[in-house]
Amino acid sequence: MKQVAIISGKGGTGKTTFSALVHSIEGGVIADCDVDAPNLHIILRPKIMEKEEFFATEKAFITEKCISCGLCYELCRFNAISFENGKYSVDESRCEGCALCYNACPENAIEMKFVKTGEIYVSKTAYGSMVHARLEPGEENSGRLVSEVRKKAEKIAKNSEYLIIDSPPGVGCPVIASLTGINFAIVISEPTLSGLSDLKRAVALTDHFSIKSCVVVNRYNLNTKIALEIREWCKENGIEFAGFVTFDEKLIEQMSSLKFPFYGEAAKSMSEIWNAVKEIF
Amino acid sequence: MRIAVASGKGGTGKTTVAVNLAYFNGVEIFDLDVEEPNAHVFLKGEEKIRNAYRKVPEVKDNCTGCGKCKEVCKFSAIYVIDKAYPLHELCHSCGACAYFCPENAIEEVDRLTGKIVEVDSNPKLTYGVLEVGEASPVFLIKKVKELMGKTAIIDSPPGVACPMVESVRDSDFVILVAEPSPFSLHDLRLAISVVEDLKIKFGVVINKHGLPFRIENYCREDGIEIIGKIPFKREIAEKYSHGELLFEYSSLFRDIYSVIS
Repeated sequence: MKQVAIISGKGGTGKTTFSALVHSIEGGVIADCDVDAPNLHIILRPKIMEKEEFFATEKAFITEKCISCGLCYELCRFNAISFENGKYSVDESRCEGCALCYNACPENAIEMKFVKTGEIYVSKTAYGSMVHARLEPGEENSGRLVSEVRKKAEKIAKNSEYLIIDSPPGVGCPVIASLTGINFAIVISEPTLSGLSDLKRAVALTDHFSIKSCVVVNRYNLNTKIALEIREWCKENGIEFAGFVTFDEKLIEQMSSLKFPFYGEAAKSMSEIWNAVKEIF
Repeated sequence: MRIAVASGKGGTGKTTVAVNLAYFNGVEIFDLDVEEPNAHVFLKGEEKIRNAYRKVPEVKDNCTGCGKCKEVCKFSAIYVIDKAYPLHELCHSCGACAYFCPENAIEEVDRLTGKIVEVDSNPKLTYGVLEVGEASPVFLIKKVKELMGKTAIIDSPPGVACPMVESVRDSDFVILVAEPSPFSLHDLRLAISVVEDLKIKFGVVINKHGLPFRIENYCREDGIEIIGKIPFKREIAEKYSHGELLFEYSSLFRDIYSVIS
């Protein structure tokens, strides 16, 4: 089983579109690792077979034993303890769950409690299986939820040829969690100066973890000059350039009305790129 | 007032709204999407760059390998074989290990978490750039926020997890940028629930208005106020791609600002 992550750096470049299309070609297992803003389920409309609650985050709670000594307030690096009307309390949204206050409190007046971080789903699509999740809005530990999603997906995908990982934007913890131990990454870019800047950082991240990657420029004809610049940059830096995908208004319509599998010029070049990339790696 | 521009879904036009809003109303702008900052593509000037650090443990020779630090570390960022070895990538800089070490054998030292860039542009832009490989952008976001005054436009990262929360927190108003697609609507609703939890007022700007999906109808049903619409035009996408501001639409961004303030 080969694990392929679809990443981008910049948001909205077409990661999910590309991932869904690959899934429709390969079947097997797909994991939506963009757990805080997941979108793949909107396209694939999977049937949820299993649901599991995920408790990764512990938060501190101050109990009635508190004598208001203020030590926790002093120690907390995250400004999560507030003092109002002579009483200390924890702002849950700021608490990192480090338990420094819990361990330090001289009165044992602080408890650590697990809070629900999200839900994980194992589902069936028309083409195979899908593992996805939903992070509670505003929560942290998205990286750990991503790792959990991948663990489940890997188990199911044991006998599949590919496990496709639809990754979140950025270069931080949930992206890192989507990349560790994969076979290769496909970076979806767009021909804008922002897209180029973000692409460079995404490729730097794959390099940092010694992961092989290749680059796709989506909607290339919105700015052919920058699209060519991206290809040139790839060549200069020894990065596999996988191809251009045209800007296709028909695809936008299909996405608005959720007509899947996508068809037309853009969809066709995406499948051609996938088939070529498979050969290279 | 501080106005944060957020979205949930990436690529809906946060940076477009933030930079144009800042430029046409002459308000200082802070790009807190430190994983992938882009406002500097649009607002140019001389850059003053400095390093930003966070605290991580360093184990001194007097470590006895007692394992207390490992026991109190909630992030599995220390392992102990004869002595303690910290894993800085996993460290959350909470300081528990140093606080509880009975031998005072842990010293907290600076680790580079990113860079803070102040651009001499008009209006002034300040942004953070996270070191590639650092897991959490939150330390850097907080550092950049320390430079923020009472009046600012904030370009937030996508998503609805901790980096987005830290970026919109302490702002007086949040503009949520959505585009007409079922995906953007889905993520918009998630973003709204975060902003409501933080008890911050918000309004929605629809970008690429004119695409077939009727996102306004859903907003109306949900009772969400739409405070601006940017039309779907190829020339706007082209200008964005070159890093140009939208001079033809300056009044639109002035109107949005005056509606909010």
